[in-house]
Amino acid sequence: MDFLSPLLAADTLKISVILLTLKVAGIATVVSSVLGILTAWCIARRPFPGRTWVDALCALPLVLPPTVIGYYLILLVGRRGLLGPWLAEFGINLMFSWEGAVVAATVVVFPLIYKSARAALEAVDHNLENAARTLGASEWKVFLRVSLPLAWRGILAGVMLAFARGMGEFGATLMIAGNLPGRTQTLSLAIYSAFQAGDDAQALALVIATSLLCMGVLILADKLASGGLSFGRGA
Amino acid sequence: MIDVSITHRLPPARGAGGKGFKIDVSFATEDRTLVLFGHSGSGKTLTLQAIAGLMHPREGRIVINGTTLLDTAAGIDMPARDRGIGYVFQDYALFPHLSVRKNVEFGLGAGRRASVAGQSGVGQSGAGNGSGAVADGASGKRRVDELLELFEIDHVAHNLPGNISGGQRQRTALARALATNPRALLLDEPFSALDPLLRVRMRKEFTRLFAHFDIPAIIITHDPDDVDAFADTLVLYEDGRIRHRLNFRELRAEGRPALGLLMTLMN
Repeated sequence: MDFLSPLLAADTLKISVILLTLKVAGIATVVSSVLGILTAWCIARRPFPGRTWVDALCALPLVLPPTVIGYYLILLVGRRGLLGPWLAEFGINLMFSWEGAVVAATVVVFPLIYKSARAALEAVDHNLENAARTLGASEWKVFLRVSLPLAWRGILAGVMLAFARGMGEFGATLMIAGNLPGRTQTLSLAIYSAFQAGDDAQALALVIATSLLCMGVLILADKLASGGLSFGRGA
Repeated sequence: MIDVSITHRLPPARGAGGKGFKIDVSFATEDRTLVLFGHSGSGKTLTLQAIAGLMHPREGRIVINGTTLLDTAAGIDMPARDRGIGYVFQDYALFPHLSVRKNVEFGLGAGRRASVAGQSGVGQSGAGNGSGAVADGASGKRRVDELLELFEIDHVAHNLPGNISGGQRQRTALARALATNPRALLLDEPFSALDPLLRVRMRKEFTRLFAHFDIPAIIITHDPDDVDAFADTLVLYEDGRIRHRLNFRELRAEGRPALGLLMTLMN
């Protein structure tokens, strides 16, 4: 069991790296959930011209290489990017900052939430939504009281997947936020750095920490999905 | 007073040939209950959806008790939430994640619907407020309590719809529709999901409840027994058109059962 001994040394396992990773993935998941669910709702409601194109655009980060996403983000929010100068006026600089890592992770995980939310919302019985409308509910109330609660399980699966994916984000994060220890170095970047530097003990410690975190996410997802909300439709 | 006139064309179903479906119907009545009878696919449900605002016909005019819900010529098309139409779906469409009580309450919080003329609602049962205005807060709770009691579902009020019997589900659906003081009630094959004995009992109950609430109702069915039990005016649908329109109250007074009549008329 020698290989486990480095794990017990507190300074080897950098708690700060884990905390930063959880912070980045957590914020990215929350932001992406709000955006993804609302987008899915708008698109699932009814067909409109160009819907196929909007849908493809929303799913694009799923298939694009993360470096391509990173490059687009630099074009968008980089210092000389489309929005960069405008953001700088508000004192916001996303390049080489943990906030930049959040932006990268948000874009990368967005399709996972959007896809599962759209499928889950479209699977809700339209008669239930129509029943709510005849009872005087606004579209917003139909969404909050009927569609969302009934689609919640499916959406949750996507949210959990997004969080796990967000923790492992590498390519886009590297391009926009860099790999600055203590500032923008998340778990997967730290593992790569440790491995490159020949610090196998630390790499292994981080690899095991990552695996445990991901297991935890999956188990939590299962618990959330099976507990509480269970209702049969009856005959 | 119900005055309905709609024209609409549905495109053919994807994958199926044919030229789609055309509906062109028009009827008006002063009676309390109107029964739409016809084979499935003759446009009955489409008519109810148009009245409730869930389907938007290309041309049409729908007036109920003097309120214009739709008038394509005048550019009026009230959204479903403002129409004040109680709709009891064929499969009841109860919210599976909400208790019986929460289902019945659902419509109470939604906006302030203009009070409906001639409304008496639960007030008639004695304890309630007779004003018919949308109840809120304490009076809303009392109104729901009364409805649950009147429909004999108070003892299952905290159950989810999946855990109650078919008859209770149907009563919940009707109570939920009536809780909002609707201008009119639409029922899509209300008894088709019930076993035969329960069907007979629920018909009796509904007759009592309709008399109690005294609001105009349109009932879809293809069961002649429903016609016998409820029809004041009988409208026979066939292939998107109205084949006959009868004053069934007179026929009932003459002692003519619907079955024989329908057999003659629909062939």
